[in-house]
Amino acid sequence: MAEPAKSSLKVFRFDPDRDREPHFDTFEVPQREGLTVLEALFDILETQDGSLAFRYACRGAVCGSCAMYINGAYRLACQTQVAAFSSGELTVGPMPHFPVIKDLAVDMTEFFRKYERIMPFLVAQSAPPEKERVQTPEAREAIDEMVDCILCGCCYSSCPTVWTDKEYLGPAALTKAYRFLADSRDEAAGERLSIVAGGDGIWRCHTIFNCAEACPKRINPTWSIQQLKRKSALRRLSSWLIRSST
Amino acid sequence: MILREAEVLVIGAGGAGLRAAIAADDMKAKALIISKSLMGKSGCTPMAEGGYNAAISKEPEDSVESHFEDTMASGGGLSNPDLVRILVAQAPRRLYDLEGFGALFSRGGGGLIAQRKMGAQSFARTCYAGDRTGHEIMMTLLEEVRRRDIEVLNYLLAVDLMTSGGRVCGALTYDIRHADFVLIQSKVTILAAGGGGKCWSVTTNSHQGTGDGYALAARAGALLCDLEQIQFHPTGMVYPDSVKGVLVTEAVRGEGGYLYNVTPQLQEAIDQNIRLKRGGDKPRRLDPEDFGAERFMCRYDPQRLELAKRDIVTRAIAREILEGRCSGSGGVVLSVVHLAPDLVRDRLSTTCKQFQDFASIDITLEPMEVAPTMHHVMGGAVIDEECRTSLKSLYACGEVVGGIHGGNRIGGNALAEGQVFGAIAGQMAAEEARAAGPANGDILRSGDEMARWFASKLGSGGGKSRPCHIKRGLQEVMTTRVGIVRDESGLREAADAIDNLEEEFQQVGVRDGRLPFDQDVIDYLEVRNMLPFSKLVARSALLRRESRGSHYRSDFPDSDEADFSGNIFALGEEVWPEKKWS
Repeated sequence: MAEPAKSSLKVFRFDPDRDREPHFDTFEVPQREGLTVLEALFDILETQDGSLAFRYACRGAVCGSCAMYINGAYRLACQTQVAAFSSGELTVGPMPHFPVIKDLAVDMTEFFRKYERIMPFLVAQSAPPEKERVQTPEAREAIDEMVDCILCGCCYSSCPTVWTDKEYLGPAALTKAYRFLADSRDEAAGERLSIVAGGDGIWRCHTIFNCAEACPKRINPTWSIQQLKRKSALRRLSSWLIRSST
Repeated sequence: MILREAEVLVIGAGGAGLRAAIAADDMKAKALIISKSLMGKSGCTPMAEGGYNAAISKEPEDSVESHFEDTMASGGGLSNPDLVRILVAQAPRRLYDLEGFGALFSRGGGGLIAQRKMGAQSFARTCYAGDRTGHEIMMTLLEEVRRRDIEVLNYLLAVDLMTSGGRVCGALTYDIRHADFVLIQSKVTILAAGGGGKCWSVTTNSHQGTGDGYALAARAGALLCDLEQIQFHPTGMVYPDSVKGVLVTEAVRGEGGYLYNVTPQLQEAIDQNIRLKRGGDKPRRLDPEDFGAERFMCRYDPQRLELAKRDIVTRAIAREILEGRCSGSGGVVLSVVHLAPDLVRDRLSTTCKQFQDFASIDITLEPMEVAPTMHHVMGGAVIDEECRTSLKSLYACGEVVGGIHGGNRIGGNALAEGQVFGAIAGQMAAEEARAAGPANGDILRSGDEMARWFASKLGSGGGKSRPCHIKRGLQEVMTTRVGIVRDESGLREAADAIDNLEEEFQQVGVRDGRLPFDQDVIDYLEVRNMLPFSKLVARSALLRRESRGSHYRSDFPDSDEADFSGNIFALGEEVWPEKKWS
């Protein structure tokens, strides 16, 4: 019987503690129907190189652990089939602009630090009612898209402002901020708007839409950021109007 | 080795673990959560789709009594009624907690939380957030943990519980990120380490679900029960191979999806659609009803049909497949083609994307191929009503606990269980921690010993066998011999095979072990947990010479009510039946 056809994976390798510079290793992986990049990486791990490092968990595109840079695009390795690339050749790298821990595993510390700055939690001054807070289905649907975020970091990694501005909050955190601002139950609109409208926030977004293209869950962070800009401008305008009328 | 101290150590960062930490924080105890990956990403909670059961419906009027009866009836005589009573009574309150923390549940009339009906339930009792309920609950708990600034250590794999004088006083853990041991000394410990699906080759669980909690509890000397009760979810994906086992939520059937077996005409139509799509054309609308396919659940449970108890649907599907009424990939089909496409896209959006992205299937036009997949370990650590295990200063909550779901877990009861018992465990652990003196220092010596033992394994690999090979071998054995249909000879073979794998494992080392994210180390430490857990499952299954709940024996196909000997308990390597609550 003929050998099964193989795909070729060029994989980014770097151990900051030992290597001076990153390099790529090429592995040949037998093709099979529906083979995902994540499975191919496990195949390499088990049959060729046990020292390859990458993050993984659910393999069903809900945990956001295996976000990588595959053939020039942000993708979840578990959701990307090797056969999607007809050339049979793949280049697999870590998400750019994150510090590399080793190989494909990146350090998400800064990402989460910025995420925490926007107060990513519901703030309700009033004590919770005995049962649920009433919310119309329409109000619930208004934030349906933003709720889908799996915090994989793709949008953050793709954003040119993030690359150049160390403190820029980034698309994921800002989308989350909008998710709470648009939540009919939240009562911290003022505080949250002050955070996102500060020097590290929404006005640094140049609407390049890289984030929307990068998102594996098809969320459009730029849209959320635009909504924040509008809310922030309105708030400034109204406070100016109030001040000038008194 | 690094040393840490905690008042309340929480092992596991899924739904139960985070809820426990929040409850401990409510009591002003300092909790420390350890997570095997990045917090919130590796447990089963974020992957749970269907929902959360709470008897809150007013129209029609549901009741906790009805929820109690449904849960007990499903449990096949193995559920501990005291624990089930707590589950059903507190599920609504804990649901409102989540809503108060910010969770966005889908809404129905009057802006109140909407509910859907899932299998084996008398009422529409399952609250949901579309079909990504677990993800929403997980995000909410993560947000609450961040709001409270509760400390979390990521990438810590629990190696063993540390005991001194019969009391659990912390845990030795391995830091995957920094390739170092971390010894955590605690006043009280909460085990919330989740399930063990990865001991089977086809499972809904994430890669991290390797039965760590059961093994940790067993090695420390805690009492376990019902380990033969393994739930195989009726519907997992079968195609393509790389997503085999990934959950297709029960909500699909809850929303009105039908199960069909596969006729040659249907197979031909499926193949034709594949060809169309390969050629870049749109697939044809394909309702299995038009191709002579049979809604086979009519034969197995004519009343409840697709919404029968999970074990019944699972065995029905397994039988259809075994008898050849299946697709080329070995599945039956689940179809929502007859439902309004808008409803499908709205209520089942995750399922739509899942099939589009992984299998290029538009579920509003084409049926989904599905087959059973290992889903939930219903057995686990025995706890009392305050989540105390049989060991002092060790509490447990979430999937790692046994005795609640008995022989068959109802869909929607696991998310509720995690919240209800998580909150109790956190509260009780905090109370004990406040009353306790300073942490016990003996742990240092035993932790050091363990770390030295492990160090002896480092660099000793490089032989033919690697930990991942033992893992694969074990998965093969558990899938073929300790699966949906079991018998005496198969189970004996499994027990022997596991013994052999244990022997082989003694010879296995770790190639390097000093690198971050070193898969050999992770595999090694996981296999060290998977083997003893799997062994207890096989031995418990051997001991139950009848069929009950999810444990089906082809050599004893009926339940033996006349000679019912109770639950099967496990302590160390011993297993025995006993009537404690059953």
